[in-house]
Amino acid sequence: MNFQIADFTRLIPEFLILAIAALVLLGDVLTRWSKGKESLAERTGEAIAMTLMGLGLAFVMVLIQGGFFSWVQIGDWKFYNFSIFQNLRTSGLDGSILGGAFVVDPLTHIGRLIFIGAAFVTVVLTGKAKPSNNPAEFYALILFATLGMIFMTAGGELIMIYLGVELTSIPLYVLAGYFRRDPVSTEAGAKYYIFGALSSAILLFGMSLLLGLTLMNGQTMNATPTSLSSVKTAVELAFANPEGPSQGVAILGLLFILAGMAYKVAIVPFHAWSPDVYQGAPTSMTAFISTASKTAGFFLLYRVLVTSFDAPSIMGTAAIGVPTSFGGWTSLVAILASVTMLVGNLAALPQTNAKRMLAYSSIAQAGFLMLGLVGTQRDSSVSFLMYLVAYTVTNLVAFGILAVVEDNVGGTDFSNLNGLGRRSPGLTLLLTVAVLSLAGIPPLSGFFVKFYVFIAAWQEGAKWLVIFAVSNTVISLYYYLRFLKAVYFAPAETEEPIKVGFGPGIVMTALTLLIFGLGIVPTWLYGVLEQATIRIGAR
Amino acid sequence: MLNEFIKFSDWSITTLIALSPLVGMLLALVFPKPAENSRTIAWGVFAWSLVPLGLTLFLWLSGGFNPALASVTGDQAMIQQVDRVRWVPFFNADYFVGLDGMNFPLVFLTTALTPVCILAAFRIKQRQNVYLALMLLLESAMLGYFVSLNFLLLFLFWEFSLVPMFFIINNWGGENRRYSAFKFFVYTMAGSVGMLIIFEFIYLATGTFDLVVLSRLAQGLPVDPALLAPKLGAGYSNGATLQSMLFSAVQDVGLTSVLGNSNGTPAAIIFWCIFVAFAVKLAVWPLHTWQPDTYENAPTSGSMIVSAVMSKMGAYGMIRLMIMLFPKQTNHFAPILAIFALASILFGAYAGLAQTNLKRLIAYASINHMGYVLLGLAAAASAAPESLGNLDVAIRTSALNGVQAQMVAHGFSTAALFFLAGELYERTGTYQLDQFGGLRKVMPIFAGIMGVAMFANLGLPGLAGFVGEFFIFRGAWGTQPVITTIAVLGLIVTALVLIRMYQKIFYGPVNHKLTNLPDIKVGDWAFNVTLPLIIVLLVFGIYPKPLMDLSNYAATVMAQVFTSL
Repeated sequence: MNFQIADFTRLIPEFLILAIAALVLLGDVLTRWSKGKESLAERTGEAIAMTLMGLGLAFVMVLIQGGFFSWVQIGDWKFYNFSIFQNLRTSGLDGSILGGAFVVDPLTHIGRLIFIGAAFVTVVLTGKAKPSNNPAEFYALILFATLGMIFMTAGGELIMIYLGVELTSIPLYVLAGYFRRDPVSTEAGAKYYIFGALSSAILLFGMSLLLGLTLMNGQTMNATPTSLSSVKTAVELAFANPEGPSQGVAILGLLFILAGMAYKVAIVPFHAWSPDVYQGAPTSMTAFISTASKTAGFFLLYRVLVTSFDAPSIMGTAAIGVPTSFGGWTSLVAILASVTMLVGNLAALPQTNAKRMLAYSSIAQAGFLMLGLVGTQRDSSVSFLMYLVAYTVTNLVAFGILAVVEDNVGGTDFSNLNGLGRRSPGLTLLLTVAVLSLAGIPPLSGFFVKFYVFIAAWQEGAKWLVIFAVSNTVISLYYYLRFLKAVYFAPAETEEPIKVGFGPGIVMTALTLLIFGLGIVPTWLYGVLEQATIRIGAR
Repeated sequence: MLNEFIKFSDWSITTLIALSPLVGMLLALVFPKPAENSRTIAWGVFAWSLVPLGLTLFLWLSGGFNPALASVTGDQAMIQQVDRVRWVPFFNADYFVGLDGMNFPLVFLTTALTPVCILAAFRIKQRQNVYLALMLLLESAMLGYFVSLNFLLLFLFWEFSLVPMFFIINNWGGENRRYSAFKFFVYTMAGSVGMLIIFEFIYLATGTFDLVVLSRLAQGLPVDPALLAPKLGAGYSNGATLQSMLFSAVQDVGLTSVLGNSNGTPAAIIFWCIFVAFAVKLAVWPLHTWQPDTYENAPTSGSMIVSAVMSKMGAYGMIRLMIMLFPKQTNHFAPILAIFALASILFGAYAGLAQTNLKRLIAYASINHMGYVLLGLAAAASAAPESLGNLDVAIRTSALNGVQAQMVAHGFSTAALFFLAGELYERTGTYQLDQFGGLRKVMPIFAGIMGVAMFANLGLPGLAGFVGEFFIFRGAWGTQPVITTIAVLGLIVTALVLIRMYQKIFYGPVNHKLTNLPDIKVGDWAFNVTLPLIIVLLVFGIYPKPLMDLSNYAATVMAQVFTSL
């Protein structure tokens, strides 16, 4: 557990976010305080500006550190100005720092980009849902949650993982219930908190079992007992001796961790909280919770499963009908995936509130996504990560547009969306793209990632699951098309155009272009994601 | 292996043809908006649309595309002017475009009609530059669709073609435009989703989206295993066909307990999914109901392009994805296809009789004409009676050639009819047939031009429409005599429909409100729009050989597939 000075540079984005969060809070104290509206506007503006600048800076920093930018070199001339970039790069990527607690690999970088980007979009989208008092807290909490998500992704050790989970969850509880005067929002916050606390306890219990296992095996002379690699050794030892008692402990530990994370990412049957929370929380927060927080949970699950539980005897296979069939956690994931997509889709059918319907849709999307988790071969891992990226981008657009509509119309029922096509053709176009992408229509990214997880699961042998998932996409078409029916067909109550702010407009357009880009040229992410899966050890 | 049936292009001319309109589209959008009534952008877009036409004609006349070229092993037609670049490696998908006898006539149709439609769009006043840009986008999407030889790419262009058409109808259309635009969009989309899912399954079963490879698999021709994705499929071995690979995939999944243990069932289900997708686009009864609404409510030049070119996307899809990939199933279900065709022919014709709206009438006549196309396809695939003997291949070839000629001819004649209908509306303010009357005395040249277009549309000998229908019927008599006999009735009724339309507009007592309508003058704008259409109709009516030569070899190869079944 030694901290080297070189470790500091690898943590620059995290330090930056932390510093900005502190600055946002501190800056608020130094701004004009009064009861007037001007004061509140000034404080809000200052907090937003500082948050956006900090997130933007951190985003660029991660891009540089991850090697996504290269410096300019023309002939023998290396442009000296850029050497700072190079220094950052060489000290950025790779290495398990803090004694393996924090892993800086391509997966961490991808996670950082997604979370920082999603936080940026969320802050831009806050719109009229701006806090009515103490604005700085609101934005600082977003920053802290972002930080927690990065820790969740980068955690190479159980305690760090747990800290990351808590650092993410606690700010999000507050943010979900931020409108204290609104009973729905308060309910959302309370519900999120109770379910979240329970799932944390379950998660922690699973971790304690695994820790007991590593300590019992005495494999900890050189390694940290809580690190994922120690867990891997202990679990494999436990499985090597099927008669012994420790195999049961390993399985229990795995089950509890799966269940705890399943709460966090809203997998059926642990999903009941999510529609209420998504509907009740401020829409921009819903966008954040349903994308970044979910992605972080899945990254965590992916890292834990692939690092600690990837021995073939523990993984088993989700294939049916072949001699060594159906067992291990992959088959459990396959069952969860099928139940999740079915329940999500069926529950989405009768919804009358767009936000609530999107909540069920994202449950179903998680089900599709888990097709990439029924194995750890290259295609499975890459498709899993690619799905998460595409899902994040698409859902941000969908919820973002709902946020804009809610600001203008005051609600997110389908009746509020009626005639949107006439009131704001541009916004409707973006919404159409996002919804069609969620439905999996080419050439949008949603189609490619969905098909890619199908291929991956098919290659892993879970062919029954693929057929099941394909039939589920047909069900999902129905409720996605209801969106389009409302916005294009239903008559509007007024023809009054919808005002779209400059910031949300730009951000939504950029993300929509990204949906197209990820769809038409799906290869450009492939290299990065493949690197991530190779480093983490997927076969 | 690949080079045996693919001839690469030296300078990417196919890509240039298909994608050059996109550059024009961008130019039209970024060009600073000129003053009101200025035609700078319009002429610029028109000139740009001549580029793909010029390239296509160059290929045709210079021999850069040789329709009679066989593959090295002689087992299929050579795909020429191919561009093939890796696109999505993890889907084993390439950007793969090329020309053969089946798509070249349609590429010609698209590139030749777009300039005419753009010229016709000069009437559009409101946001003309956007409208013209959308026309170019539509052209690019349709050309891309015709030349794509990879399913993913083809589907991408297929979906993209919906977008500009949706906006053209939605923003510039007639009374019921929003409803029609959405109906058009939803029908086509809903039809094609099944096909998309089916092709996902085909990919999982075979490991390729490549339509040429798939069609070789379907015919049992040798395929290089390196062209198939390694981990997928039941493993290609010599003698495996598309049908057997699909069946073994179904077995793997364990669906045989539901679908039964018959080798052909999966392929049959897939066949019908593909048929539905394209039958919607071709407006085959009973999936045609979007079509009259769309044709009626689109702006004139939109109706022209959607009826002349877009409906052919359905027929082409049937050739490329249905017949070529599932010849056995097409053969097996050909009588049912023929009955659908007959229903389209008869219902289209009789419904046409009942129409009072000029545009709807032409729309129903189109349904009737697309029925002939489907009849030709069904005839080419049907089991032939013993008595046919050696004529077998010739009969099928003539049906397929007839289909191609009918598509091209119908494109030109319907475009002319819709344009003239639009011009009548501009002059009289109505599409209602009973509002016209005696206009031949008021506008003799107009009447003459519309007469030529009308007669070409109903298939008078000497005009292009006759060639296609003649060859289709020649083929259909051989393999589907009963249905063809009834279909002749449709031929007569369509003639009645169109002649009655002509009579109502141009004969009878002159409507006193319409006594001083401006006629088309030689050399004016409307004359220039119709002139190329009339010339093409006359030339191919009298001398169809160049057109027939384009598809003849590819049709013969396809005919042989069915003969050997």
